[in-house]
Amino acid sequence: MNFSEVFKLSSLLCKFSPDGKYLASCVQYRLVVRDVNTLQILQLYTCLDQIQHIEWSADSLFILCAMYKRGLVQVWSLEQPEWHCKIDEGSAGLVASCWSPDGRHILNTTEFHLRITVWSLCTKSVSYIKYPKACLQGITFTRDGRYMALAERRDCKDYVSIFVCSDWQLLRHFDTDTQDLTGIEWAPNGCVLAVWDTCLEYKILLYSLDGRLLSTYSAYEWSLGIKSVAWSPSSQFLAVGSYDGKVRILNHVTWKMITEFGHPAAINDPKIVVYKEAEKSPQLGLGCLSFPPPRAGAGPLPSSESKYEIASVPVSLQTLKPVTDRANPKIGIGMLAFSPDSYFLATRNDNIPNAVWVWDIQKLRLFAVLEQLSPVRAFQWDPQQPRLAICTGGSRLYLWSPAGCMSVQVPGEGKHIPEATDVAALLCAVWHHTG
Amino acid sequence: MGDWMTVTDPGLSSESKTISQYTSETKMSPSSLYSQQVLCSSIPLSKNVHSFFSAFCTEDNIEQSISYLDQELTTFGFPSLYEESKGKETKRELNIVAVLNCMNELLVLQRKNLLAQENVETQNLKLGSDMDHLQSCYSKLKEQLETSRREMIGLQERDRQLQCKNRNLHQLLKNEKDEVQKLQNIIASRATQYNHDMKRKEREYNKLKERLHQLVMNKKDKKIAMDILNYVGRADGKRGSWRTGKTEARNEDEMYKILLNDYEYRQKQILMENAELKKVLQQMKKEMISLLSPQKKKPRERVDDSTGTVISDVEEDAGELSRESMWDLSCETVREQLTNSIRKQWRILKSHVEKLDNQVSKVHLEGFNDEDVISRQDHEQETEKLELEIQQCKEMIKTQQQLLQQLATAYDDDTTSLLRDCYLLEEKERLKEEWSLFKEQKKNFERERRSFTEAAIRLGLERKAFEEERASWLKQQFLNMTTFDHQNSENVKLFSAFSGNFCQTRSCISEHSSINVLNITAEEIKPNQVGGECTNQKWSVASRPGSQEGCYSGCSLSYTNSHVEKDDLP
Repeated sequence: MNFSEVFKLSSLLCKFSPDGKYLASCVQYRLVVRDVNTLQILQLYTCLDQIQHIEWSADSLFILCAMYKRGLVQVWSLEQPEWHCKIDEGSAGLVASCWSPDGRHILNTTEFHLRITVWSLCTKSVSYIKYPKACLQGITFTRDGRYMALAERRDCKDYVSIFVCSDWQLLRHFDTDTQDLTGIEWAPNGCVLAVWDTCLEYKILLYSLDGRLLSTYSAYEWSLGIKSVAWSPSSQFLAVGSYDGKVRILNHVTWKMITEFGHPAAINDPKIVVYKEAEKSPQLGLGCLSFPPPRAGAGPLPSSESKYEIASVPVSLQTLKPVTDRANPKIGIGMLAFSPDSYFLATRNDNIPNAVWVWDIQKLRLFAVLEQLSPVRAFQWDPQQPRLAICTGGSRLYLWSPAGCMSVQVPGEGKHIPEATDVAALLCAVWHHTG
Repeated sequence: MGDWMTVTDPGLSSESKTISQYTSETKMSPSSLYSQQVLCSSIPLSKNVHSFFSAFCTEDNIEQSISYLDQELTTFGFPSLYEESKGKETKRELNIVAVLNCMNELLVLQRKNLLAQENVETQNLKLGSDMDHLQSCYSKLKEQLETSRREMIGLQERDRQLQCKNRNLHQLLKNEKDEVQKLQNIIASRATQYNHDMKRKEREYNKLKERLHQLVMNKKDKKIAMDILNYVGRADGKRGSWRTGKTEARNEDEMYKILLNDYEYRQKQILMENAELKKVLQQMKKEMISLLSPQKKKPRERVDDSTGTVISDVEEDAGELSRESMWDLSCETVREQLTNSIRKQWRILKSHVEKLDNQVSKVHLEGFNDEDVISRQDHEQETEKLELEIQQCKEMIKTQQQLLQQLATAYDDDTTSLLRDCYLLEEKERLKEEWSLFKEQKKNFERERRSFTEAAIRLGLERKAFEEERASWLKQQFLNMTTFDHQNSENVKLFSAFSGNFCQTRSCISEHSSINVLNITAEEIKPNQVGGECTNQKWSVASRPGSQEGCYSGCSLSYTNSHVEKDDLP
């Protein structure tokens, strides 16, 4: 694995273009577009204020830069560097901004989630969508970009509107049987919409594209409910992670649970491989010997290396005791991700933050557990193969595949990757480099 | 017998008493004396018979005793002892025959009575022992009854305690359930309260939002605008279209098409799965049938139901197999038929396997087939061997791992030093080469230097000669010239001399231009030029940068001849 030179990033806003040719990164108020292979700067744009969010359009021709404090969105074109576009929300404020799948419309969410403004780059027309819901995942587009589902709330009731992205026509509008909708997500095949309720109530509803309720599922009452939801790429399975530390898998034929995966702190089954990260004592490896000896102050000492050891079963993992009287306790399944071939599911139990659990979906059982030295921040699957990259916020990156796993040192002048808030982008970057 | 006793003599009273005791007490006396009594009763009769009988009849009262006896006997129904009287007052004669008959009768009677008595006594004895036995049984049973009663009371007590406990536990359970229910109710009520409050707050919030929205919309902020250089074409290159009813309908159509496609695709998948599963089931059924059918050719002893059903099944299935094509249909009846037939076959197979298991266990118990036993032993031996092998392999792996670890740790230290040595060797080799090169070059340079110095010497000589010539020429000139100033002439001389000299030397240098470094030591040239120098000459002949790996440091010789020697020109 080769690593490029480290270049300066500001607040880790770094995105690869969808076609994989360019890399956009921003430093303060400048947007830098580089070529992926040579990392030469191709374009440099200057925005009016500090950039909080950048996003590529789906056809990789435009980039939008959102400045929430000023309520501005600036759009830059890659083909014509002198083309510019500035959208000013003025007193309405700006909270979020995103592209539509056709790459010609920008959806701005104004402050207090008053409305969503749809700006068109083709016709300079504006559309407004009222009463959007202020929740974690209120807007979701189908994978083929035809439809958009939006969560709304009017008169203390939740609704879902389905729009046709080509002409922003309202296709369906129906109410949902939820207390306080927290998230919606399309299935990858674009025919089923999963809608789930607030964590105070365990309820997940499945609607078909035309607004019919297909099924509801509720595992239990009264306790804290759903924490995370993930569709498998083949749309066959829906994984629901909840605060009781279990993942329940629903199948797409009957929408009933086919199995539940528990995450106990003690692993006893000898068929499961447990990888434990262990610190290697710092030795002068061969690569570190330089001859003739380097000049004084030429480089830093190599930081301690780590490697994976296979721990023998039974293994007990490090758990975190959650504070019982605070909101958003660190228990439950916080992260879920399916591998691209739907064979594996990676999960993280927030109770045991150092471990990543990998489940085999073919056999519906636990396959491997990776225990790191520090809490896992994020993980991402390779878009083509069943390989998982894990980041824990240190200067190392961990890779797992069914054959084995390894830890890789990211050269960063000895510094740790700071406050990896957008680690997903980083991991995407990793997969782009290698995969 | 009572009358008999009253007539007896007091002299016999002791024996009679004893006898009477014996006889009168027969009814009352306990069983233990029965046997003695029988003996006692029979013996005194035989012993005291004489004295007894002599006491009744003496020689004096023969007639009286005879008449008395006669009375007694006739009352008892015996014939009279007297002969038949001929007349009324004549003395009746003793009928001896009658007497003997009566005696015989009495004897017979006596024997009968004795027998009867014996029988009665034995019966008595028996009854007595029965009674004893019964009494002992009775006492035992009484004891048992007592103990069982006590046990029952104890059990009843325990039962009562357990029931108490049970009731308590039920009570506790009920309490807990009530509490749970109560808490749930509390939660539910809190939830509703919370929802209500949330709704109220949300309504307020919505009102605020509406107000804000109105303000925002009404303001008609000129700032809320999009400033775009030029319009961008649509992604798909088509023109935008107006929103009409047609487009709405089209959108609906497309949506339904997508849904239908998805359903069709899924249905196809499911149909394919179904067909595969059906094939598998059919195969299984066929195999099961083939497994079971050879059984019917085996010993007919076991005419069980299984074989019967197998035969019937095979016949059935032969008919069914012909309708295989029907199985592709997925109607209820076909599905049911398939599942039922599979189940039947499976049951048959199961029972067959169970029978085999029983056979095996029986054989194992009887120790019939030695083959099996031996094979098992072989099997066990094999497994032991394999286990040993596995252990050995494991040990080997462990040792190898240890060795590898050792090597790995040792490897690092050794090889680093080794490699360091290697590096040093390499460097040494390189240095040697360079040194040899250096030496060669040095030799070359020495040679050149020598040639150069020779050339310089020659040059010096030539110069001297030239100077001498010039001096002589100048002398001539000077002698010829008379009008020029002394200094000017000197300057001119100097200048011309200098330039001339310089040109000369330049040409000299150009001749030896191949040489890199001009190493002209001041000492070598000075003594040659002491005589003839008259000018300041600064020679800075810089070496050309032909450095070879630092062997020859770039030496820039600046040769200066500082002293100006005033020419003692004429």
